[in-house]
Amino acid sequence: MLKIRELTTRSLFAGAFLLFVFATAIAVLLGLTRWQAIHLLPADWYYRLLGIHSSGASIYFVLFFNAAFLYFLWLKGLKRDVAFFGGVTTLLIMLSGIAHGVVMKFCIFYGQADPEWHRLMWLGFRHQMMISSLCAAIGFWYLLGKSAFDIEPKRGWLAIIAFILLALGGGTGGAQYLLSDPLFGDSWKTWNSSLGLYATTAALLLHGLVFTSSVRKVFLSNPCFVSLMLSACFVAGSAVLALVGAGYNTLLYTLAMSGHMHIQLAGGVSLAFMAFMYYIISDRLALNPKFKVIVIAQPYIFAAGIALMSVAMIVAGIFQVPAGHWDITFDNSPFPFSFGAASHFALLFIGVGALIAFIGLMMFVLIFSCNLSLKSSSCFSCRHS
Amino acid sequence: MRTALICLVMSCLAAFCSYTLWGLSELKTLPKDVSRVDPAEFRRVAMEWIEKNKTDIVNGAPVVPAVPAEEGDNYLLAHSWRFVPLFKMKKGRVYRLRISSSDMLYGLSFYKDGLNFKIIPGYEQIITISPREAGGMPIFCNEYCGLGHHLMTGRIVVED
Repeated sequence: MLKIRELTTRSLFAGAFLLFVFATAIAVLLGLTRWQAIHLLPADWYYRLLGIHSSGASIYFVLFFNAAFLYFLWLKGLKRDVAFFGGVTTLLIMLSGIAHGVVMKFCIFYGQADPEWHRLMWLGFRHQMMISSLCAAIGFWYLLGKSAFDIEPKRGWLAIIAFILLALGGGTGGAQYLLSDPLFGDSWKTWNSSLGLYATTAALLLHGLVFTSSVRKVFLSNPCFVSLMLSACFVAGSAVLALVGAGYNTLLYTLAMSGHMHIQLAGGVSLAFMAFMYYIISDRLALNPKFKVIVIAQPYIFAAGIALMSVAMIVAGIFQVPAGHWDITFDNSPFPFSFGAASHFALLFIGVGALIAFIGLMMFVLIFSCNLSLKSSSCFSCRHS
Repeated sequence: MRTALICLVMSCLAAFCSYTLWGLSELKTLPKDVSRVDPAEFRRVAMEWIEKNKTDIVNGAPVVPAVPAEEGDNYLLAHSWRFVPLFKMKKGRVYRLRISSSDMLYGLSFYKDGLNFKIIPGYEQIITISPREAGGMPIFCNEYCGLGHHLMTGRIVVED
């Protein structure tokens, strides 16, 4: 039994870690391709890696991340607290998302699926997977906050209401990707995007306020604590950046959508995952003088890179730069035109941000792989309670 | 906690009804200006209309003077990473475009106005536009559509 538990734990955590590193490391190649002056990858490899990055990060990593959270919650012993409620919310939203995905795949295999029906189900699947990872990330704040830093949410009931609102808004949030589609009526678009906007924004702001207001002591040189806090800043701080409302969305169905998603996922969820990984190696986190600087700086560097990259995506999106596009100079197209210097300036910062985040990621890999090889506990621990 | 769990399940159900069930029912009742069409049939009709009205060919794209809204509709076909035809329009006039795709999902962005639409195969939608300034109005695809995504551009030439 112990062996099975050990094996499950290792498989889940190793799977989540490897998928996270793989999907995030690819992003630097994509960022350096969108930086027009470097334009690193050829078109076929750019689109291939974009697909792998996108599905790897927002579906496969999310599956492992959610499973790791739920399993860790179970290992810690189920108590009916805020983290437990976060676990139930994660599970329900994830199951709902997977149900959409299974129905979609089943219908594609056994008949001709209507393209709009396919988009409705696909976004129901994908957006709910992403929202479930957000719930798991928030669950990690409460779980790790309590286990490692004695952070007990002062108004737990507010956090529970926030999870309920997140389930409501997150479930309808896929609609924001369908607002420039011709088929869905105005009532459906307005109701779903408005409901999604208000419920999700309120939920994320409430979580940010409840969690950060419960912190009594800060540990600015502890990577686990810093990662948790930065995750809260990304998730709650960017809550109002949801690009909903039919008119607004029709104007900004561009790279700005990717910026919104990257702040939440590449910022909030990744940092919560890093906090979790720091927590599980906290007993063996080595701290020799050379290593100390890397350990302390890592979450700051990663967060700075993601913030720069995401904001640059939103700015480029405001200038109408499309998402998932290999070459916005349209050099070989029949009717080339230019997006202008400001767009290229914003794309430069996407590349620079991705590069900084990649350095942060490599530091994380270095810290993690070096510490796994250590056997004894050392002088640096995440547990402050 | 029990009440909260019930509320959570109700929230998930409400989201499912609001997004999925209502969304599925929307697919049965199409909005005004959208209709179902056979992709091959739309392509045939559009190409016939383009062949009949084209005046020139620029960079492989047929040039068609657009018909104002009071005189009829114009066809814009997206297929194989191309928009056809290249329209010539008059500034200030109103035009109706019948838009669809004959192979896969594309996006249609009017660069200067920053408007984005989806082009769904099997569905024809009518967009009404009125150019406000003379010159070239670039259009491009903003929905990933395969290896030729970055080649998919078009143009509307607006004359005074």
